[in-house]
Amino acid sequence: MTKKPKDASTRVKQIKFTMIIGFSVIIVALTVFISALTMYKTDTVLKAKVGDLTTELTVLLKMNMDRYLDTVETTAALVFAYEDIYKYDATDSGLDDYDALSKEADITKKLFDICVMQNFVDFGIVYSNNHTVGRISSGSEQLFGAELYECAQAMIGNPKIQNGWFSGYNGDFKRIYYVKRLNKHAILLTSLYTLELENVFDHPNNVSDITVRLTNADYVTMYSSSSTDVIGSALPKELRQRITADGSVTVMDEDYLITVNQTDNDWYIICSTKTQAILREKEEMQFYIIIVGIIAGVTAITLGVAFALRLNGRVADTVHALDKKAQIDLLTGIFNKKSFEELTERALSEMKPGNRYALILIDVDNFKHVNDDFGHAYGDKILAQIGKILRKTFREQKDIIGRIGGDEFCVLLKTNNTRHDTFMFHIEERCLRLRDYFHEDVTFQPPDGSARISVSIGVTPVEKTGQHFEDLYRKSDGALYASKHKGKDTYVICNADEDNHTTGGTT
Amino acid sequence: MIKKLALLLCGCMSICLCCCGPKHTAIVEHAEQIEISFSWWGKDARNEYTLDAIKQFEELHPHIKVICKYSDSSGYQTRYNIQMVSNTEADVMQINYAWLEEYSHDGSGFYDLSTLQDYIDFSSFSEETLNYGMMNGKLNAIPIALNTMTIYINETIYKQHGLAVPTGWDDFFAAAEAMNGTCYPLSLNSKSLWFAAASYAGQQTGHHIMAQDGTIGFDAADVQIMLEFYRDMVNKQVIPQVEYFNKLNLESGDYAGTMQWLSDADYMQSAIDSRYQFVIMDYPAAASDWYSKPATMYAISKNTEYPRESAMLLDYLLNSEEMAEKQGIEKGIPISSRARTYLEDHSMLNGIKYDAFLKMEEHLEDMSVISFYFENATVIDLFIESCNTVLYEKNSANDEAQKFLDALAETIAESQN
Repeated sequence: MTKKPKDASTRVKQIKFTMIIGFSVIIVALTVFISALTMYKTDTVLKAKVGDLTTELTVLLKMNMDRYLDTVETTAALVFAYEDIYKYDATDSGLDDYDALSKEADITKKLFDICVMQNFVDFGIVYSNNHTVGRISSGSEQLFGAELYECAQAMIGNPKIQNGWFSGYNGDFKRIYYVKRLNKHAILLTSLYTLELENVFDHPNNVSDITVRLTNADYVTMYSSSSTDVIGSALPKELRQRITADGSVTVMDEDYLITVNQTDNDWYIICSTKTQAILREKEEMQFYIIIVGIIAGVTAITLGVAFALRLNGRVADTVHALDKKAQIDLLTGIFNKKSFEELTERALSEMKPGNRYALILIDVDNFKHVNDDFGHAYGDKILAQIGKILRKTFREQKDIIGRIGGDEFCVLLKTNNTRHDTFMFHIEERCLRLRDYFHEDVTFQPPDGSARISVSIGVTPVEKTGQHFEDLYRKSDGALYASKHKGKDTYVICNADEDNHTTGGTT
Repeated sequence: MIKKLALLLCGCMSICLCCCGPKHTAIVEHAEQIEISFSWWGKDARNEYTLDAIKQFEELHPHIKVICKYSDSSGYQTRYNIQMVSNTEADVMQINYAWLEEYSHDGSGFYDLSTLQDYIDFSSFSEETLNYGMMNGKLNAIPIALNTMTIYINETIYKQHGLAVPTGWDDFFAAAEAMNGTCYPLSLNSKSLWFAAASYAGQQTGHHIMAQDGTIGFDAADVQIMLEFYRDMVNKQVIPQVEYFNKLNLESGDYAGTMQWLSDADYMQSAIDSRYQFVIMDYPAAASDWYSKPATMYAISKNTEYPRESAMLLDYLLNSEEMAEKQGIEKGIPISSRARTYLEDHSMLNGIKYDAFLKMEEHLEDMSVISFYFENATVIDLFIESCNTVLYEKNSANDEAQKFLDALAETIAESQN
């Protein structure tokens, strides 16, 4: 089966379709690529930014904590402004009871004055005989009992300065203690509620779901902003195993962002958040990136399609015009040989049962003489007139009319005649009308009065599908030959099934 | 069409470029965070549940941040005085009944709470109880609970020594002989000593130590009775010296009794939980010689910038179920009917504190309302100093009584000025 030839507008349509699809694919691919790149960069930048923010937050909290610890230490140091306080030794057995009582009342008053604006739970002096002066809470007395002085002594972690911070005695982390030795038998005991650290660690919620913890040097949690944490328990394993370096570090992996800062008293402030919580903001950004990508893609495609349609419209018009020019014989205004053959072949292939066509081959009689005697210009005039007559005789919109040689024309007559005799009558009627036009038109009478220009016609009726132009042409040519042989200016209709010729009209 | 689309596209690109330009200003509005402060005094338990309750209040009202200022009761008034004099007091304050007169004689020292009725539910309080906080026609404070000195007796130890629960002061001296130094039949801190001695002397002479307006009703002879009362109690081992009072000795059994505020009945709880039976002793004096007062009160600073939020906190502290649940009867039996109903409904009105409350309620009508100046910290310090002077025989009781009386008059005069 031969491939159907495509006309220019079909090809233009195909090109247009391919262009739109190709353009759309490119835009979509580009949008996806840009969106993916943007999301990847967003992820990276966001992680880095949150990492920086958390680190800054931890540093800020460390500074808060150090300042708070410093306030406690400074307040405690004020005790050394009073010689009668820090030199007083309640264990001195030589003291008069009344003098001791008066002295201790005075010390108590001064201690109250020193810490008057502080939220201290304890601010008193413990002597080596466990006697206390100042404010020692019943909570601390109960916690340490008879070992109060020994415990206070054990809390001195810095032997050089003779002070220290401590929490977690017998697992009790309700208070944080600060001790400072005053003399050989006296230690100043200060404490504050761990809950006080809420104010120290209060921070703006600029980082999602961050948990702030304070641990001692052994990573035992002393304070946590998370209500699910148990105070006094070890730092959660998933955090502890990620903190592999001592001192201040920042760790970020697929699961956690952790920043650690060491306070002046060697405790740790640990801020942590799940990486997924950080990237929750990214999801929101991703959503917008995708929306912007879709809008950009759709806009680009819409504009592209609009441009393509507009451009292709003009191209199609141009191509159509050029195509038309290529198909048409400019002299006669009918199809040239190549177009005629293609269109005829296509029409035959598309012929449906019940259709009745006829291939009419027309040869101009006496034309050579005209061309030779009156020049090509006159000959062209004759040919142009023949084109007009053919277009008048046949239906230009339905039938296919072509010039297939210098003075040879061909028409594929298309009919819907259901009956053979009607069909044959229709053919003959057209042949006769054509012949008559040639007879009537003065153009075809040469100026020298020589033989008039007429036409010889060979016709092949086509009443079955599956016929090809080449075969039909051959038959029509045979009929044309017969027509010429019969003296020109007549038509001969070939029997379609056999190569017999039926004689037509003559002049 | 194409031109229109192109123009539209150019417009969109221009807007995008403008938005991305360096001149773009981002304005983000933040929810206003209001910061108010709250001050109180108290022991561990109070501090812990109050901090916890404040945290819950902040969760209920995320736009309010409460800064807590607290310390032990000893020395608290010095701190409070500094804040009041320097106008740096907290927005919401726990105050003592006596401070109403000291800091708001004409009613202008604290915020007039009656103007905040949209935020404070006064219907939980009777007019009579609100009157405790009225100064010069202005509602300066709202009482949390009523209070009086109560004597708690460790019946178990008394029985071990074949003794009945005392009914008067003399019974303690008899008990001291019976206990023979194995333990003290009674224990006092400086404030309860001051209260007990005044009541004892008043019982002896029929005088009242001072009137509501601060007029002193005692003479030197009355004060001498007070000083000698302390000396005798210490010397006869009825009580330990007040400087050495340690509530842990109630649990150990070294003290077989103590006189403390009704609101401090928790001191006995550990002893009760371990092995001892405590009972409330009948007041050892006629009700007219015994004093009651609001336990503590809540007030709002006259200088507060956020009266509305402060009032919300005050209402939360007095009337909310959350606070009632956490506070229980630690400060005494709440006056707020809403808080009390919650405690009743949750069977939280029981124990020795509730027994002490019932005892007080039985005599409340006949009790004298304590003078504003009675609890002045300086007065009590001066009294303890005089007690020790007499105890250690540094001065005669007679001379020391006069000396104290002069100092008392001077201190009250200073307070009134």
